[in-house]
This record gives sequence, structure tokens and C-alpha cells, in this order.
Amino acid sequence: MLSDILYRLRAFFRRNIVDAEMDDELRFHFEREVEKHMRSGLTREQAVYQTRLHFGGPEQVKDECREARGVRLFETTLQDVRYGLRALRKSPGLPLVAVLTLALGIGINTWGFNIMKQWVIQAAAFAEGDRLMVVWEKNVKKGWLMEASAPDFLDWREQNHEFENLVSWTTREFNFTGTETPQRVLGGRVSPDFFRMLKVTPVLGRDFRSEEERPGLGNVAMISEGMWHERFNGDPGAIGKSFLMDGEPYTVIGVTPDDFHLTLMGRVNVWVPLVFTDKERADRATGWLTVIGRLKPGVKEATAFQSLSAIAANLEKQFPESNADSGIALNSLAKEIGRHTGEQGIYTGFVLGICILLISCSNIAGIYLARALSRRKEMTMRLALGAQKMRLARQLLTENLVLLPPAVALGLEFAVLGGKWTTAAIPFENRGYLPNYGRISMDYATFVYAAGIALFSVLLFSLAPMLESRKLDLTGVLKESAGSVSMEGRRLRKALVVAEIVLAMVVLVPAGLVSKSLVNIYHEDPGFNAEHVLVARTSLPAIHYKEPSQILGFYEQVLAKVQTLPQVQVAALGQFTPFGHAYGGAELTLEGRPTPKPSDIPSTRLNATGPEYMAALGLRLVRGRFIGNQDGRDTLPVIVVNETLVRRLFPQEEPLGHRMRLGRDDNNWRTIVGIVNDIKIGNLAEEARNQSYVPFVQMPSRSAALVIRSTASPAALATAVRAAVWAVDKDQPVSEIDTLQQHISDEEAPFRIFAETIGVSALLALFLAAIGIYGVMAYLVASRTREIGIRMACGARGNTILWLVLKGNMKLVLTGISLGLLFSWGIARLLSSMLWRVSTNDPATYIVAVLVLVAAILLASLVPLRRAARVDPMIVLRYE
Amino acid sequence: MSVQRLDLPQGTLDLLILKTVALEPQHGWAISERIQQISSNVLQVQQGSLYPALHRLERRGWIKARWGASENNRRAKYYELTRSGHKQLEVEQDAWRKLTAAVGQVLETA
Repeated sequence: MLSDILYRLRAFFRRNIVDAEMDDELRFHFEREVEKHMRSGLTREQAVYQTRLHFGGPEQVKDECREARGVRLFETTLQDVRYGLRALRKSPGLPLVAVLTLALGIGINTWGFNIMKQWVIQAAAFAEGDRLMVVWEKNVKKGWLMEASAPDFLDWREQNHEFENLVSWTTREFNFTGTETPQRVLGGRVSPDFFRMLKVTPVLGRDFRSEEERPGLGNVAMISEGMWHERFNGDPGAIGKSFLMDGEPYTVIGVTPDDFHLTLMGRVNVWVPLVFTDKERADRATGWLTVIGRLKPGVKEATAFQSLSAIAANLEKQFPESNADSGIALNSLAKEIGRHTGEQGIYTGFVLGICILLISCSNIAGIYLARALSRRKEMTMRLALGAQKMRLARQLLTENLVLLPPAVALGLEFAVLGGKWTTAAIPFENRGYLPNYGRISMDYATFVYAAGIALFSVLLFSLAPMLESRKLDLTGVLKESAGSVSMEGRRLRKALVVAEIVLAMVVLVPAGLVSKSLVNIYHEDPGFNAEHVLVARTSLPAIHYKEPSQILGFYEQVLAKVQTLPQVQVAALGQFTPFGHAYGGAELTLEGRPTPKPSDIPSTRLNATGPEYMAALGLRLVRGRFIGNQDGRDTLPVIVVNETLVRRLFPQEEPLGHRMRLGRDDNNWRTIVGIVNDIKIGNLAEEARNQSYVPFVQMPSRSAALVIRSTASPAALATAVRAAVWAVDKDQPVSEIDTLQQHISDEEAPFRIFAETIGVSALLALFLAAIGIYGVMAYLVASRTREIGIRMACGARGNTILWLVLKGNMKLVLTGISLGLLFSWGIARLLSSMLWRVSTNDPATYIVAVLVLVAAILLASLVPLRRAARVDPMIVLRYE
Repeated sequence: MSVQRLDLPQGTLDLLILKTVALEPQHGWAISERIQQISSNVLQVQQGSLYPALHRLERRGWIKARWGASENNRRAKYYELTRSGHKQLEVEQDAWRKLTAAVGQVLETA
């Protein structure tokens, strides 16, 4: 085997020497043969003649020897490559278009592949990740998934036998102080077994010990590698050092690797053990923990589900008040991550990318078919001279393969650009929730993928001319005049047109549906006026701000300072702000109503707001009054509710003056004094929910946001607000400082990016398809020039001809569109959950898509059609 | 010419070449001459098939080539059997004998 390879290698790389040797060998043979003949009495001349006669063509012998040496494949390929390059140099236009088209297709595809690879496939890359499950509490009646309460989690953990390990976590922000500017960091409160369960080992120090779950063991923390570099300059001596968080000292015990990133949590930089307070341990009604576990090897998901469900059913029996209707939902971690990353959209984008690649291929196939025609004479001549058909087909393929390297290189360039655009488009806040912190990088797999699809594409679009060259019929072609095409060739081209129409439809319809959703979302009225509103949040540490009076004092001072800033119209305080990623809630008890079943207890979203908050946001007063300056700490406890709450809970009564209790605290009976309009809180696509507002002074909160309506530039205002906060307390970081409009835009960014990407793809697809269709149409019309000429010579009018050609192509268009409708409907169903107020069968979208496509086709056919109608019969017939 | 020429069955040429160079290294012309002589002019090897066969056998490693001086002192390429070529020759000879014996038997009895 080895000697065989060495032999072939020598034969290939030293082929000049080998060829010379063969010449020598054959000449020697020839001479001896001549001598032999001369010995039998012939003259030299006659002997040479005789020998030639027997010898056969020396070149043929040599060629066969080359084949025997097993190098002909290389050699001829090299020849073809050289030929291909020469042809390229001679007429670079066509190949250039082919390379560009191919590179576009490859680029879009590789871009999609990279996103999918990094954000979906590699997203849940944990050791033995298939055994990792996320456990939710599920309201079986309403189908909601909820986070677990501490006692429920502890019961699950204690009573199940299916999980090797069950842990829980929650995230919260900490004030990181002690540096030049105070900083907010996202912290993870995690069960001590968290890292062991995920099989993540710290790069430095240790992870939490199981006993660190018990209170009173002192504050320990792990920090991320990034944080370690930032705060401790990557000093290994950082272990054992302490830092201040929320005013309390924490000791660093370990550093987590930077590539560890559980996207569900966001970009966590500090980890502390989850130690339950007595209150948390007792509260079964409040769900706040995400639970994640590793199944024992061999345990099926279904088994674990049954077991946990049984435990939950038991808990429901034991605690009917808090655990009514509460069952279990079990999702694999990979699925959970995919759900959060928006894998549905990524998959859809990927499929559409493939469609665009196929359109590119059809286009190039069309171009090459046209070129194949001009080369038909050449091919036929070569066949007549004895070339094998396989050999010719191979040559065509090799010539196209020459395009591969530039197309791949350019395609990768496009993919890099696309990746950069995607990364840049994603708001900073959201990146932490995407795998690899939202970065998209190229790697070996990317390259292999790009090269792979490029090769596949070249094979695909080479197929058409190869198919046609297979059908070449010697006499037929030589007799045929230029410009006429066989039935076979026409069919191939028609198939191309249909394919392009189908593919374009498949891209257009989803793009239409998604764009319509985007428009719908932006047309949603948030219910408040986000223009010129700046939001800035501070969270006061409990250790320094124990008493409500301290909290109120801090915010009063800050607010007083902010209100005096120039160009500030209104400044107000609110525990929560719309699109601030957080909202409070409470159960409601209505005075004078019978106690409902536990599962029917109404609830409301709750916000504690200062005076002017509603004015600052531009809320509309329906009846009664806003929360105002008359609401003090010791005045009547009041509450303002929204229209939805009124509609649901007071369908017939007048709510004003009615009393409601928040939660279960009898000190929290409140009188309804106002009704305001509904506003969107979480995202523009959410359904209206019950919402209530209470005076901030009556329910103060350490974490609160300043809501400032001002005509000043946001950047200048932000600096002034920070200064105002630090003037009151220099250790207070100010976070989420941004305009409300930016918050909304950030919230809708993932979908907007998705819609824009798909929209751009659709335009590109339409454009490519139009070019492709133009090419083939022009060709089909040109191939009928003679026929048209004869028809016109017989008296046909331009319009008649136009109609004739149009009619012929109408069938193609109709076939393409009906097939396209079918396929695009299938793809659209993939998208169903991403659409907003648009059905996957939305007729308007389909109609518009068809109309746009037909318009593009007409436009593409216009030029060739007009050319057909203006054919001069005399010229055509003479030309023949 | 009165001698009837036969076409060589597929693969037989390889066997004949191996056998011819088994005794001593030979150049291409001598190989074809020798086969012709020994077979009393029945088997005639065309250059068009001889040289490709030689190159093929060389690639398989059954024969190897080196340049040497011919009888009349000209540079010629000599082919000789390698060790694996010896083995191959035995295998093919054996197979050939079995084949001809079997074919003969069928022709005589059937």
C-alpha cells in the first residue's frame, strides 16, 4: 500500500522525469523492433514503416501507461484547473457574478449556522448535560410555569430518589463598594451543590461546601474570572481576601471559569450560597427559585416527572392554601435554554438561509446553462474527436471548482460581517442572557461548514450543465443552429424558474408574517408616554438603611436635588418602572365578598409610587384621583387600580371607596381612590393584567427608580442625576440609567433583530430570484427568436407575440407560486409562537407575497418580453 | 502468416510477464519477444498493452525497474520480480493451472 502511494507520488511530482523515461523506453523498444525487421531483410525505411504500423500511436500508449501508473486523474484535473483559470482570465464577468452570488448564499448560511452553533447547539454544553433538568411548579389549571418556593424546593429535594442532585438558585443585584465608583453587579444565590451538580470546577480556590447552606457560617463568595481580573488583577492571593457587598464583608473562596455561563441567569459575576432565612423557609406561597437537577444515570425523564408530581400532589393535600393546583413541569436544560434564546427564530432563520443558498445555486445554474450553450460546439467537437463524456463532465465540474476558494473566502467575510452586526444590534443588557455573552465567533467548524456547503452548491449548480452535456448528440448539435434549444434543455430551465419562485415564496411569506408582527407590536399603545423620560435606579443596602424613615429620607433628598436641575419638568419615585424587568405583586382580598377557593384568589401587580409618578409617565385618570402629596405615612391607606382590575373584580359595582387587602396583613386594608388606564409593564405584546399602585411613603422600598421627565439630553441628565445621588450617599451606585424609550426598545430588541434579519434576507432572496428569473426568461425568449421571427413574418403582431410568450411562462409562474404557497405555509407554522396578532394563515400576507413576487417576475421578464415583441423578422431570418 | 494468433484472456498478460521476468531481469522488448518465441508465435503482445501492464505491475510492487545496459550496450529499462511478485506469480500460476484443468475436465467429459 505504502509503496503504491510512493510510486504514485513519484509518478505525479516527478512526472517530467517519468515521462522522459517512458519516451526512452518506448524509443528503445522501437529501435529493437526496427532492427529485428532489418535482420529479416527489410531496408531501414521499410522496417520503420512496418514497426510504426504495428506499434500503434505512441501517445496513446503513453496515455495508457499514465493511467496504469494511477496519476491520470491528478494530471487531467490539473489540466482542467489550468483551463478553467485561463477561461476565467479571458471572460471574468460571468464567473465573477457566480462567485459573488455564491458568496452571498454561503455568507448568509454560515452566518445563520454560526448563530445556531453558538447560541443553540453549544448553549447547553455542560458535562453529561442530557441529564440536567429544570423543574418548575406548574399551575395545572392555568398552565403557568412558576418558580418554586423555598419549602417546596426543600421537600422535592428531600423526598425524590431520581435526582443525583437537586439545587436551586435566584439572582439579585448587589452594590459593590470600596472602589472609585460604586458598582452594581449581578449576583447568583445558589445552593452550595450548584457547581458540583453542573460539574464545573473553579479555576482557583474551592466551590461551596454543602454545610454552607446553614446560616451563621459567615459570608463566603465566589467571583467570576472576569471579576477576579478586574477587582484583584488576577492575583492568586485573592483567595481569602474580602470585599464589601451591600455594606457587608464577603470572603473570596473561589474563582469560576469564564467559559462557564448559565444563560438563564444572565451575566453573573458574584456567587453566594443560598442560605434561607426563617421567613423564606416558612413561605410556601411565594415562588422565587429556579430549580435544576441532575438525574441519576439511567433514570428516565418520565420517571422523574411522575415521582416529583407525586410529591407535589402530596404537598397540595398537606398545604391546600398555598399549593392549590400546583403540579410539576420538567424540561431538559437544553430545551429551557433554547426557549430563552429563541431557538425557534434561529431555526427559522437557518432554514430561510438555506433557501437563499438554493436560489443562488439556481441562479448560477441558469448562468452556466446559458454558457453551456455557447460552448456546445466546443464540447461536440471534442466528443467527435473521441473525448469521453465522463471526462467532459469532469472538466465542467473542475472548472467550477476553481470558483470555490474565492467564494468561500468572500462568504466567510460576509458571515463575519453578519455576526458583527448581530452582536452589535443586541442590547448590552440582553447579551448576558445569550450563550457566550452574545458573542459570535468563527472557528474551525464554521470554516468546515462554509466549505462544505460551498462544495455542495458547486456540485448542485454544475449538475445542470452536466446533465445537458450528457444528452449531447453529435450530429444533432452540429446541424443545429445557434439559439435553439432541445426540449430537454427547456425543461431544465423551466424547472429552474419554478424552483426560484418556490424558494422566493418560502422566504417571503415568513418575512411578511414576522414584519407584520413587528408592525403590530410597535403599534401597541404602551399606555404611557415614554418620550423624554429618564429612569435611574438605586438600591439601598439594608445594613445602612434599616428604618423606613432612612429610606424615605434618602429619596426625599435625592428627589429634591433632581427637581431643581435645569430642564427637569417632573421628577418622581417608583418602586418599579415599566420595562424595568421587575414587578411586584400581591394577593387581593375584597371587603364584603365571600372568601373564594384558594385557586380563585385574585391577585394584582403592585407598584409603590410617589406623587407625580403617574403624571411623569402620562397616565390617564379614568375616575377618582392619582396618588398625590396628600398621601402621607399616617394618612388613610389608599390604592389606585387599573381598568382591567376594575373590569374583572368590579364588573357591576363602583370600585371607588371600596376596600381591598393586599396580601394577608390586616394592616394593609386599602381604600380605592382612583382608576387609571392599563399600561404595558413587561413587553409590548403582553396581555393586560391587574395593576395597583400604592403611595411610596406608605410602603417604602429600598430599591426604587427615579422617573424624570425632562427636555435635557439623556447623557447630561444622567451625569447630573448620578451627582445628585452621590451628594446624598457617595456609596450608592445608580443603575439602569437610561431613557424609558431605550428600555422599551431594548426589551423588543430580540424580536426586532429577528424581524430585520428576516426582512433583509427576504429582500435579498427576492432580488436574487428576480435576477435568476430574468436570466432564464431572457434565455428562453432568445431561444425562441427564430420561431417568433417566423410568426411575425406570417403576420403576427407584437402584442400577440407578447401574449404568446407570457402565456407560455404563466404556467411556470402558477406552478411555482402554488408550490411556494404550500411550502411557505409549512415553514410559517414553525414560527407560530413568534407571531403577534398575526395568524400563520394570514391571507393578506400570502396575497401580498404573491403580488410582490409576481411583480418581480413581471419586471424580470419585461426586458426579454419587449425584446421578443420587437423582433425584426427580416433580421432573424437572414441571420439564420 | 500461417500461425493462428490468439487474443489473451483478461489478466493472463500479467501472469505471462511475471513468469517471463522470473528467471532473470528483462527489458520490455525482450519480454514481448520471449513470450512470442516460447508460445511459437501464437501469443503476440502489443506494445499498447505491454507497457501499461508493466507500469501497473510496477505500481503494485510485484516487479521493479532499474536502468541498465542492453546486449548491444544501449540504455534499457530492466524489470525484475520482487519478493511479493514471486508470491503473486505462485498464486496466479496455481490459479491458472486449476482453471485450465477444470475447464479441460469439463470440455472432455461433458
